[in-house]
Amino acid sequence: MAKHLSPRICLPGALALIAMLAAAPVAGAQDVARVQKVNGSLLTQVGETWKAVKAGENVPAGAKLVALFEAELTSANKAVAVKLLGDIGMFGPLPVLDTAVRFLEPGSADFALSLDHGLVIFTNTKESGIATVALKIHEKELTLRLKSPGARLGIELYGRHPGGAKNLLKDSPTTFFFALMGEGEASISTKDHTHALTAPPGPAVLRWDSATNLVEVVSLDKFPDSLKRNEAEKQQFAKICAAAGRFTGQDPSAAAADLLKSDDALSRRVAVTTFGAVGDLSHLLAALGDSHADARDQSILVLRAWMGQAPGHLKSLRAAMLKHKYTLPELKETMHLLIGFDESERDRPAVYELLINLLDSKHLGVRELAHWHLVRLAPAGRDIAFDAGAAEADRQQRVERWRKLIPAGELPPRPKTDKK
Amino acid sequence: MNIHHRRLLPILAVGVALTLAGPSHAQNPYVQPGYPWFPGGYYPGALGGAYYGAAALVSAQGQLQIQQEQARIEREKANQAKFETQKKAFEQMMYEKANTPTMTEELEYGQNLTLQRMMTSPTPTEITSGKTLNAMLPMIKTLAIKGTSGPPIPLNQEQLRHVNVVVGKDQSSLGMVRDGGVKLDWPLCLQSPKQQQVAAQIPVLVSQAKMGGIDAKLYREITKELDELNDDLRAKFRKEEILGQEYLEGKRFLENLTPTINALRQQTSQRFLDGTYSAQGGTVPELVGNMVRNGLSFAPCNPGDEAVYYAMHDMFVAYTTSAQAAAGFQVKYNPPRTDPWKVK
Repeated sequence: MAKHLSPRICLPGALALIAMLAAAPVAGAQDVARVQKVNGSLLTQVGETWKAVKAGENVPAGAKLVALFEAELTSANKAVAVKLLGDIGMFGPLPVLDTAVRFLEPGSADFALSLDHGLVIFTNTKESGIATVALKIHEKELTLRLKSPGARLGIELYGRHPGGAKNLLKDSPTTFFFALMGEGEASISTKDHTHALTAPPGPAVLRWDSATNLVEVVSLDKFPDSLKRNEAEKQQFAKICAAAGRFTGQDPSAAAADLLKSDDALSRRVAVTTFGAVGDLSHLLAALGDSHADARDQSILVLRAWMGQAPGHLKSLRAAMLKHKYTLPELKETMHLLIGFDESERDRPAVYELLINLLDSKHLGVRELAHWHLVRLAPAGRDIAFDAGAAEADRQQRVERWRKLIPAGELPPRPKTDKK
Repeated sequence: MNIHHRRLLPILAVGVALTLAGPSHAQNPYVQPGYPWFPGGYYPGALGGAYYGAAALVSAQGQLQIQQEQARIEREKANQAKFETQKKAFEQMMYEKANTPTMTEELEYGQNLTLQRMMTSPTPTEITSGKTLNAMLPMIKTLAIKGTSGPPIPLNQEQLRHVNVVVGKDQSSLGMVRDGGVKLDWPLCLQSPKQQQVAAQIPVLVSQAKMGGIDAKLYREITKELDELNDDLRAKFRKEEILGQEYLEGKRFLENLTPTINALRQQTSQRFLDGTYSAQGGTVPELVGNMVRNGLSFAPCNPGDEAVYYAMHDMFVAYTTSAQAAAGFQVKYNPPRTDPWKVK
């Protein structure tokens, strides 16, 4: 029968099958980890669909996992505990969103994974001795040695484009790597160097970035308070995990689209974060024009993070915008606003005039982005309750207040500073 | 390079000894070119040959130092660009968390900027506005008074032609109309019949200023038309006929051109236009000497001349750093911030 099938019909099917096989974990691949606990959802991509991974399941080598927002796993040999952590960008000094990793064959190490973005915590769970983790960060290969049982090391990875319109053309995001020793001692080795870390007090933080390619070790007196959740933050985290817990089917995007209709602002933020986590640009761009200000605000954060994950994402985003019926001027304006301004642009009165004029744009997303920048660049205007989604008459009043605050040709008023 | 150095050293020592032993014809202004003993002649003779060799070696050594210094400057420039990229990208994350110092807070911080920071991690605007160069002027002058000098870094005269200067600190620069105002690079978003009219009038006004007096009527007409161009640009942007980026480009051009036209009224404009007041000098200390003697300051660069200012900044930093090291003199600077997450 097969010989009667037209190659034209067969070819797309064959290509889709190859793509699915390439993306999926290798059949019969060695199980490299076991899921112990999931708080929210732990998703794995199988071809073009997603599957929720539950506690008690094994994870084979090659599996790509996305944590929304907490998952605990152990390596197959039980030497390393791995916690994947995420948030909606509200906790910690830097904006953590979903965490995406791919598990690898460990080889001579106890555990191996490739970190795409997010926050991972490794703990040595051996009864004695060193636990080794082979960690791949984009093209770099690192070896983490957790020196003794209980040693705990957190790794964060972010990517962002430098601000400024000229960086739209370069599309060369900078990757930032941070390691923080929470407990005990560890070392981080590259091909040429090894850096020792100890929990505070001591050299606890290691940071590296792809622009300078320099490693810096920073000493801390104590574990940063900004990384400890208070009661309110714990409650909020529980809520976002509960909201993410509903992504159990094959199509988390559809579930997130339902969640976006929720009355709860946190749930809407979870929904938008999920669009970014599964790379659903269509829903993400729709969220930029959502009727809820929190959803629009979250979509800016998620879009910027997604753009910075890898070179080439700007091109994909442009294509998605065109598909989403953006006109060329709207596309260019939105991209410019998403990438932001550099410091030489920020000290030009014309930029403020531009942003205030864009509060009046016909495009809801552009209005939201202009306001997003203005409240950051000119905190004095935070009292002006501008809502990009409000009726035009209401918006006009607020735009006039912004114009009064920053008249054309002037810079924003200086913030009041505490002389002490 | 080291091997080359080591090979040169014994020869250089002999050359220096020979140079010290007798007067150098190479530096003797009374020796005429083509004369047999003149080192540049076809046959320098035995003694002349030795002098010639010594002078050539000294010159080669000087050239080598210059090349090494230039290579160091290039490396430094590349490193600076990397740090700039890192800083800008990191800033974006802090910005999302709204923790970044706002522009105005940065201005506040800017008031406490030290010379050291201007030399090591200036912002692009500080360089292109001439702020860093102006900050280094008094120090280079002080070093010269103390008799300390840095490496003989030659200044590229073509680049120097693109450096804008003003008398004192508050005047506007005439750099944009330096060539008579005929080659203004009008952005596309400003081009219109009205713009063409202004573009034709500006060279006339500049030429009048060069002769020592401008026609008040023409001046008022041009300033009025520039205001109208500004209004037209704003209107186009509000009607969404042009993009934000184009608006900023046009606005920047007008923001530079308008004060330039205003500056043509100044009494000193004639001296700027005839080149009496300009950035002149073969080396960094010569340039600084001329600037200080004439009471000049560096003015912001013209659009498109940013690279020249970056190069000038690097040369000033290279010169100042070497001279400071030679004098055992360092400027104190504030300690960096201690937030472990903050990229310096």
